[in-house]
This record gives sequence, structure tokens and C-alpha cells, in this order.
Amino acid sequence: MSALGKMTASETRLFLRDPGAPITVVGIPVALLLVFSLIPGASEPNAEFGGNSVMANLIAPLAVAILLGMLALTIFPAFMATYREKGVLRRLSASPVSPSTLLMAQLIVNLVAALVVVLLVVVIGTAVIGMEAPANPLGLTVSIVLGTAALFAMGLLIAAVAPTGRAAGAIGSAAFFPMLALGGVWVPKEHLPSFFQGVADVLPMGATYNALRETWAGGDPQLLQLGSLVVFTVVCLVLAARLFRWQ
Amino acid sequence: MPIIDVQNLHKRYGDKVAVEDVSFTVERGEIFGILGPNGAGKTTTVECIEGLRKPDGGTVSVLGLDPRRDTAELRQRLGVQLQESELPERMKVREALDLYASFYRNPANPDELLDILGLTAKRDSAYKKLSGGQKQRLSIALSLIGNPEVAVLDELTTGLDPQARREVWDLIEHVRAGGVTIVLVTHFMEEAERLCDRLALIDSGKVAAIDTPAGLVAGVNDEQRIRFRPSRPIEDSVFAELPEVRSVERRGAQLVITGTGNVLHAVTSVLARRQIIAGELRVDQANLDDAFVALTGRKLD
Repeated sequence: MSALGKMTASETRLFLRDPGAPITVVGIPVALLLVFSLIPGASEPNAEFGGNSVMANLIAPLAVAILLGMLALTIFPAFMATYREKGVLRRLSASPVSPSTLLMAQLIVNLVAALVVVLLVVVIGTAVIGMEAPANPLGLTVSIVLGTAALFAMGLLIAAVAPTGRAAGAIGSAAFFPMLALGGVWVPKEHLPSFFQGVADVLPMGATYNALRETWAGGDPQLLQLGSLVVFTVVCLVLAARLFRWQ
Repeated sequence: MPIIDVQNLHKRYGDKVAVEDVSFTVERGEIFGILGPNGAGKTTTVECIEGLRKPDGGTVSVLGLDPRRDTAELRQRLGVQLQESELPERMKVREALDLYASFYRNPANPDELLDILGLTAKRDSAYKKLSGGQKQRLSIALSLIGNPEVAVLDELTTGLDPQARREVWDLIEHVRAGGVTIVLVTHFMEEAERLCDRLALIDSGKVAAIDTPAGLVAGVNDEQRIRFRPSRPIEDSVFAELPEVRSVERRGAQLVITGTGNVLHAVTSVLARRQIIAGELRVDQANLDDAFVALTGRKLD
């Protein structure tokens, strides 16, 4: 097997052995779905959401956005920063395999985890809970891909600046929770003052969440949402590439 | 042809000079020590050999390769044990060896290495469950997993208890017997004295001396001090007239005799002839610490 293949297998084992990562990554999105589905009528068409159910319009997009945010902003940067802090990356630079291979392996593991849980959310949501399937699957896929790119680019920037794994987790959470609030998670975007509506479509968590809401209901993602995700991806990657240190 | 050739190596970080001017060569099959106090530039020197840092001046050649230009080839043939580098805490011992073995063209057999390093019983233990000595042995195993021709080991027994330290030393001798050339960075005099065929004393980024451990000590001072309490009185002059003896002093009931060469033999012969027993006998010889002080005016630690 190639070094990347070996390393990805190894990182998969380490991810699954982590005391927190697999439980939070699978548990929180699935629990969100199941708990809210217990509210009577949550999966029924609702006039307030243009005929969509609360589950499809709010909860399923939230489950996906939270999943991506947790993986990209806290779990992935904490792994990478810990590897730098403990000298794992440095040890690799003294071997025939570059530490960038470990970064690639980490990204693969996280992206596969994200894909698995997104599918889980869609399958459980439609087959078990009985909410509507995404009405604009192509738009939803584009939104998830761009959202994932923007959030992981931010995660890479966090991994670049955080001196320790613990610090990376803290910085990640400090970015994650305010972005959730500003993204319109507690108060839906349409009830926010107009300035905050703009903010909700610009910051990556909110842009992802709101694009998912639009496309789940059958609409198209807004240009502002997709555009800002692309800009965030590029800016964060450029900064991360400048700031990232292997040791 | 030397296996490692370092000439006039110079390296600074910003305006702080880490290595002023270091030159030495290492021959195939030897254990070469780099001994000096913390901050002397030892680690920076070996990092230039390993190709992890770019020298600001001088030349480095390892196995005929330029560490900065022929890095890929060097990585295959040079094993490295780094100071303070750990593994992911949940990675198991055998997994770590398997992973690193997959990086090399011609890896060693992981099971054999585990056996040699006494880690077979720990093969399924997670890294974080290992003791300090076991982590260190695993780190040595990883430096050898690629069947290297040269292994550079940096501070390999720091933080180990004396028992674990002796085990690691035995292991290094075993590895050398297998034909691997070893560069050992240390600030332990005892370690250098026990293991190294030759060593470079480094202080403030410069080489103070290069020689065998015995040569370094002898070059500085081969005075020995013998202390004992004779079982019955004996006059000083008996010793003072021996050619090897330099001075004779009395400290209470004890005699303190200093001298050079075979002074111990000369003194004990006199005592034996007179059937005097030397109680509380102690002999102090100059060691590498003394050599270091004499050469640099500073203590090792």
C-alpha cells in the first residue's frame, strides 16, 4: 500500500479510537434529528416555511452545518495542532514521507466522516422520520461542497496559528459558536434585523446553513452565500499556507 | 572515506549564532559522540546532518550525499531519533513500526526489532501507556526500521532512570555490532565515556577537542588521588620516594597520595610488602567532566 494509503488507514483507526470525535460527530447530528422529530407536527408541511416541514427547513440543515463545523473547526485543527505540538510532524520530516502526507490523510478521514454522517442524516431523516427529501439535490450538494471547503480552510488556518492541540480546540469553539448564532441558528435569518441577515449569509457557518435551508426546500442557493464561501476558502487557504509550520 | 564529513559548519537563528564553526568526520562503524552542555549547538549540528536545517556556512556530506539536495535518498539511508518527538497517543507500538516500515525501500522486520528492543510484550499497547524507557526504545526502533547505514540519536537517555539508561546503552552497543554507524548527541559524561569510540567536545558552537574518551582525559590531566586509612602507622617518606608519587598528605588518620601513571600499583605494592591493609580506600581519577572544564573553563551541566 502507498504511504498515503497506510497513513489514511492509521488516521482512521486513531479517529475511531478518539474518546470524543466519533461520538460527537455521529451523535450530535443524529440526536438533533431524533429529538426534534418528537415534537408533534415537526415533520408535517408547515405554512410558515412555505409548505416545508420544520425538520427539513431548519433541523436537517442545522444537523449538517453543525457536523461540518465541528469536524472542520474543532476536531481537525485539534488533531493537526496536537501533531505539531507533540513533534509527530517533525518526526515525519526526518523520514522518507513528508508530513504533508499526514495532513492529506487527516483531511481524507474527516471528509469521509462528514460524507458518512451527511448521508446518515438524509437517510434517517427521510426513511425513519419521514421528512421531505432535499428538493434541490444538486444545489444542496454544491452548497455542502463549498461549505465544507470554506470551513476546512478555516480549520487549517486555526491549525496553523494554534500553538497546541488544546488551543486549537479552544480557538475552534470560539469561532464555531458565535458563527452559529450569527448564522441564524437560534433566531432564523428571516427574523433577524436586515444587517444581521447579511452577516448570516456571509460568515461560513451561516452561509452553509442558509444555503442548505434554501436548497432543501427546493430553492437555489444565493450567490452571496456561495460567493462568500469561495472567498473564505481562498483567503483562509492563502493565510494558512503562509502561516503553517510543520514544527 | 568518512561516512559523515562536516567542515566549518556555521548556523545562526536571526542574529543569534547557534553553531560558530564546527568540523569533524565520522568513520564507518564507529560510535561518534557529540558532547557538550545544553545550548552548545549540538542539536543544530546534527539537524544540519539530517537535512532538517540549512547551514548558513560550511559543507556537510553524509554517505557522499548533500543533505539539502539529496534529501530523499538520505532519508532512506539515515535513521533519526529526535529529541522530544512523540507519537499519537493512541497509536499502538506495532502499528507505529508497521506504518514507518512502509515508508522505506528495504525495511527491517518489525517483529525482530520489537524483540531486540524488548518491546514484544508491549506490541499492542498504546503509545501513551508506555513508560519513559519504553517510549525511548520505540523511538530508537523507529530510527532503525529503515535498515539505516547511519543512525543519529539525540539525547537518547535524557529523562530515563539509571536502570533504563543502562538498558538503552546495551542496546546501542548491540546495534553498532550489527554494522550501523552511530552519532550520539549527549550531555552525559558517563554515557559518552561508556559508548563512544571517539567524541567531539562542543562548547558555544565550537569544537573544543576531538579524541577518544581516554585520550581526552589523558590529554588534560592524568593525575590520580589515592585516599586510605593504613591499618598501622607508616611514614610518609616511604611513598614520597616513589617516582610516580607527586605529593603525600595526612588528613587525620587518612593518607592522601597524588601521582601519575601507575601510582596505584606502586602504592599498593609498598603496602603489600609491609602487610599493611588500606582501609576506606578510594581512588579518584580525572574524567571527561574534568577534561571539559580544563578545555573550556566550564562545567558540562
